[in-house]
Amino acid sequence: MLTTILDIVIGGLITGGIYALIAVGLSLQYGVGRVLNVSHGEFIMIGAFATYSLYVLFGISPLLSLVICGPFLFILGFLIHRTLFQRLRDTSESIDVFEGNSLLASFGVLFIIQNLALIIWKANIRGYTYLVYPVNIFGATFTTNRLIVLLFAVVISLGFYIFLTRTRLGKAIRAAAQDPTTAALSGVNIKQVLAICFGLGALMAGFAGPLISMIYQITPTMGMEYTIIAIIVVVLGGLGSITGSLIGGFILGLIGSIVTHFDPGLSLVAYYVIFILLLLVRPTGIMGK
Amino acid sequence: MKKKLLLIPLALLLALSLVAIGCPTPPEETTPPTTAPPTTPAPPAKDEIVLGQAIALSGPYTIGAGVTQVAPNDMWIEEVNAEGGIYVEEYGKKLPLRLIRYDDTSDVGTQVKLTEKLILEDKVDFILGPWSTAMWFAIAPTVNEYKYPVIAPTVDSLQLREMWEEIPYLFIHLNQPKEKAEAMVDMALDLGVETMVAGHLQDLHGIEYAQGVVPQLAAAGVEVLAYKSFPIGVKDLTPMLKEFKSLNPDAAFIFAYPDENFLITAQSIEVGFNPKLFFCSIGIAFSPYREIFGAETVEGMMGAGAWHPSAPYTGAKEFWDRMTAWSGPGGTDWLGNAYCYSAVQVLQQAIEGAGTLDRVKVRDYIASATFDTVIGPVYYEKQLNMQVPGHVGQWQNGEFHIVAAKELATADIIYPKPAWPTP
Repeated sequence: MLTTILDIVIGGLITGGIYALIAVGLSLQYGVGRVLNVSHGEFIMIGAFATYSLYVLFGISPLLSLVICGPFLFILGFLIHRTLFQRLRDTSESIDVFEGNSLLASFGVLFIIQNLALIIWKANIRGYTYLVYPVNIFGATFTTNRLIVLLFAVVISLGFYIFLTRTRLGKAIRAAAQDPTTAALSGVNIKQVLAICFGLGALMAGFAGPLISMIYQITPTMGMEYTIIAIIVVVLGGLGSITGSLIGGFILGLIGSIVTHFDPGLSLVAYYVIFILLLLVRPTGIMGK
Repeated sequence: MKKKLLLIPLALLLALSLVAIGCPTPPEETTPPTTAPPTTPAPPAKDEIVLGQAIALSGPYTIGAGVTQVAPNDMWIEEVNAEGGIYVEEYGKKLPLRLIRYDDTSDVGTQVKLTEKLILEDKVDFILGPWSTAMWFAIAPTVNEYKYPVIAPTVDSLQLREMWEEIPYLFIHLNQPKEKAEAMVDMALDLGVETMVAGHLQDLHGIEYAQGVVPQLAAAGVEVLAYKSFPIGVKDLTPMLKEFKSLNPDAAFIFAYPDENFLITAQSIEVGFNPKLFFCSIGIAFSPYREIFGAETVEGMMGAGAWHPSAPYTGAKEFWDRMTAWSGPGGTDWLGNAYCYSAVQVLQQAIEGAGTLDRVKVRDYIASATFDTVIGPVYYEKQLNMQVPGHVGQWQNGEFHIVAAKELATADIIYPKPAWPTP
């Protein structure tokens, strides 16, 4: 019994941890910056492929790749926001118009990144095996790589939560999420904060990508699948609520794991049932106000 | 404001889902235009044969299309042109090939429009065709309307096969689920399998294939201990595999696509599920499968359909040497590459044999002749290729050998499957 519960809970947290990471990234970009970044999955893909290449070509540990990919994608995200999305924001008549424009622009980013990846890595399935030693936890067996993914997802999520709640920049981000105009009036450099938010979203993708590549096979076209999951979790958690996305990710993973235990055929159905129920009962999401 | 904000992502989510699964085209767009089909008078002068292909160069089908079909098509064109082209008797000379290729973005509606564009605007001589069952299904009415013979090496459908009389210009080249299933049942019974578990993807491929195998094995006395299904996009199947392991079956049959089959392999290693016969249908024959897990790990794993360069067919070994050099050892598909290459070999031999670019004559030639290809002597009955190099393959020493049907085998079956290597 204990073994079964551990199987379900740990299994759910592993998937949930990845969901939480990718959703937090999108939540920052959409919840705060109002950019529904449909190329979010492509940033994850870059992280995954960079990790794969570094490991296969140079033997660099995927865990080390986390600290390479994360900052690299942060800079990339920051620059894309400053050059592309900030300009769109400045030239759009209203925030609603900006949302539409930025969505189209992020589709463009999606196709550019995906096609570049297809040129670099070719249309092929890639992957590697890394730390597949089985670990026994009170009778429940997991491979080391999956447990490491869980550990890193939790540590990164917690670290990020502390950053948001305890640091000055974190407060500025939360202020910008609640009301960008008032935040700007209170002395927050809103342009800088929005670009940092977009960069931090990409940073999260840069963390999720290497972790995903450790346990799943990867392709240059894998991004959309993760973008869709991220959107579900963001709405589930409540728009603009980063804590909501974190919790939403883990909840979705756990629900998937419980349902899969009884009938794997219903796992994705369960996601959408929860999604619809929540929208009916609490349309603002778990943590939305 | 909040409600409005919620509506936007919901609408977008729906739009994204549609993009991801490939938007179905409204019926009026899939129906070919009612303009009269162009007749095909031989043009006065001809310096080249123009081939058209709309295929996935972006979107979710890109990987399958790229690994399986695009590479052998491109290699063939280069080879033919290096020889000066295809000899066409009515012109009394060799005509080099020129390919016009478009990206169907993995979208069925786009595929149909581009195929019509290739026919009506680009006026190509022949069509090489798309990747995947859904795409072939979608263009079947179009190619028939305009009388373009196509040889489909990447289609797997009972329905399309039953429509053969209505679609005389579409030739199904790949071996089909019914025959593959029969060979698998015979193989399992020969090996003395007494208990089994099965899992299938909740889509046409998974359902049709599983229904061809599982009830037959059950009827033959094999005890089915578990029969599960799972959805596309599933990310964790360890609960199912742990249950399978606890049942300790002789055999496991999984009917799914590469994403799920790669996941099941990784997670079977994780939970230590290692039945004596382990079969996963699609993607096992991909070299990337061996590259990712390692030759030692995949030893004994079985997959759907099989071809091997040591099979006694003209040019098989030479073809594989060239294909491996072309795509790299980690970029080939041990099954699909040979099928896709043999499909264009058929087209080439049909043009040469008919001595014309008249598509109606070429179609009739394909329907009646036998073609010497890397998968053996191909001929069609009711537009279905009757030549099959193998139904089940198995990884042995880093090569994907034919192990069933028995008379086609290039190696003996490894049974029981070796244990997963300790990391």
